Amino acid sequence: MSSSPVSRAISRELTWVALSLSVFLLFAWLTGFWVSTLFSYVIFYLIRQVWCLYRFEAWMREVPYATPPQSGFWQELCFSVSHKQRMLEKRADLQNNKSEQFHAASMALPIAIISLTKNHKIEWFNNAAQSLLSIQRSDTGRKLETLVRQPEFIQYLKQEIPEKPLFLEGFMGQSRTYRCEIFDYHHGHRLLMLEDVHELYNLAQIRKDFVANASHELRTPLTVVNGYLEMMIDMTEQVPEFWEKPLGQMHHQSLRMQAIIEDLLTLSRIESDTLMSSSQVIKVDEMLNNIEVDFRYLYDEEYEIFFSIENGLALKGVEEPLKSVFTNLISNAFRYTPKGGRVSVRWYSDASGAHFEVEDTGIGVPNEFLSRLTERFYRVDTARSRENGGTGLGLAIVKHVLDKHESELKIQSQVGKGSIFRCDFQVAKTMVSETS
Amino acid sequence: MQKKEFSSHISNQLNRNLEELFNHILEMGGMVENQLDMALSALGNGDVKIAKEVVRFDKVINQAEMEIDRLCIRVLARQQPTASDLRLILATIRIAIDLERMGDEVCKLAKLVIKFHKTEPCTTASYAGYAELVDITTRSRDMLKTTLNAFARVSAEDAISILDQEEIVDQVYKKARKDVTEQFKKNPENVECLLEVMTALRASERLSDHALNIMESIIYLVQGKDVRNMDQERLTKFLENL
Repeated sequence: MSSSPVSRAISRELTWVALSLSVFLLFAWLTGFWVSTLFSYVIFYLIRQVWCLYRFEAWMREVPYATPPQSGFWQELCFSVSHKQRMLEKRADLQNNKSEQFHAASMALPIAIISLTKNHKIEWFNNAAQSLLSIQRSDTGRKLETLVRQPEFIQYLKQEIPEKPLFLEGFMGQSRTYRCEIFDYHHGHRLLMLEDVHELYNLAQIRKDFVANASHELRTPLTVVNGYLEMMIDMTEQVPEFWEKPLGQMHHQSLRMQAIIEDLLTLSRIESDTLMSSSQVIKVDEMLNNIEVDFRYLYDEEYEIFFSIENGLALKGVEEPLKSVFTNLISNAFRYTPKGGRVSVRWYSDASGAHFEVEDTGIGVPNEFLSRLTERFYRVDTARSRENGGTGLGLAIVKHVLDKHESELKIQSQVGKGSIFRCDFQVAKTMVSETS
Repeated sequence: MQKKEFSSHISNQLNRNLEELFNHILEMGGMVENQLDMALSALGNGDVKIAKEVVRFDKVINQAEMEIDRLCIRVLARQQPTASDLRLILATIRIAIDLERMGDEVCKLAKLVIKFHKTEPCTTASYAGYAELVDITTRSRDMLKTTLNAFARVSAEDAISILDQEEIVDQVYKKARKDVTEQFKKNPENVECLLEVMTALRASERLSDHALNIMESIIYLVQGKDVRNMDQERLTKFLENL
């Protein structure tokens, strides 16, 4: 007998037919009514099929006490059907279990999660959301903004595609800071996440304040030290010759410290949110022309310098920080390019916006360090950078200023061949000034 | 309480208008809540900057009230709603008025902070009743929140839970009044400052009254019964049957 159920069913049926037919044939042989016996066998066979069909249907419909037909291929058929059903039930159980587990996991999350429809109607939410927003299970189907009515929050909810998370202070009468973010998910549904970031927010604030205050407080003592050092250097007769070199070193280092503190203060000023409020149209072409004059004065004999500036291309932004971005990038290029190298600066526009680009033939940056270059005080080669006299904050300032101008710093570099630093400004920020 | 559904009308436009109205009034409520929160933090810290913002914010609330009026008139004129829809519109108009008044009262609180900052000789003595002022304002804020949530859920049971709060507010107000009157007698040189505190106290007490009015409008919307000016006996009976 083959193991395949279909052929098993057929062989079972054939066995059944052979057995029953042999009984009928025996009867016909004994009585001699061959035709009528055969005819009645056909009728018997048909009746049996109809009866089995009836019982099978009853069993499938789960009529009480109905049992599946047990003869011939019907037995096999019923067996396969019930087997398949058991498998399906098992799988459904498994799925059910999984989805329940998933549900329990979302309930246990400490972050408040609410699923909304396209019209901001509440679909489901987890326990954290329930306690944080004081909503009830019966609120499903209500609009979220009818229950959470903070104007900023409603404004945020109404945005089609919010880009940035919203930070809510004093939300729902609590003096804590929450981070609120909304995502589109699963065919037009929206997922709202609300997280308590009070500690993080405070820490960031403390860090900012600390840096700003500390550098401010350090400025005065340093000025005093510096002043006396300068005085001592000038009074050559009174200072023993032995001290001349140490004094020069001290003066040099204190000047460096001053530069670092100035940069730290600049950074904390840029970080403060009010920076962009004094935004205006800046004629970058004129600014770059002035910068060109300064750098040519310093380096014209030692380097090949190229400036290509598109006339009349202006930007919306804040003047001082932008200027420090440009000078930082250009002076970096000179600092890390051996004498005799080439530095070229380009200011141009295309379909994607305006671009400021500084290309040098310097030492380059290994690719694995590129992502960390804009960190504060990050050095690829510590000893070398100290010699060059940078503060370690230049690129951090560049990054922050560019962030505020919604633009990006792109760096391409090859070790030993040179680097390209490029700032991409969006079309919306660029302007064409008419006077030039 | 059954859920208020806006999809039960044959006219789609009416559904949409009513829902818009419903959302608008709650949005306006959110503005007043926010203003109250700001006023509270201005009161607590004596922060003049926030106080000035509170006063400025009042314009936005007034604008919102006009917008709600406009919407109500449009629905009344075009769709002539009846029964619960008509009640919704009447309740909405009343609630909008109450909310706008609340905005004005909150402004008075903020102005107290500004005045205190300007007038130099306001000494500690003139802070009589200040703690009570903050207390009443906090309670009024919570009352407003409860009533607005009740409105969002169209639930009269939730709304009446503020009645206990109102009684506490009345007692605190009485005590504060007494304190301030005593200070009037003891330190007559502080009259100006004390007068300001009194005005603010009165304003914060009015805040809770307006919250109560909103509650009455909600009962009217849900039950179709006017509980304004009901005497105490009938009111308790009615509330028991709710």
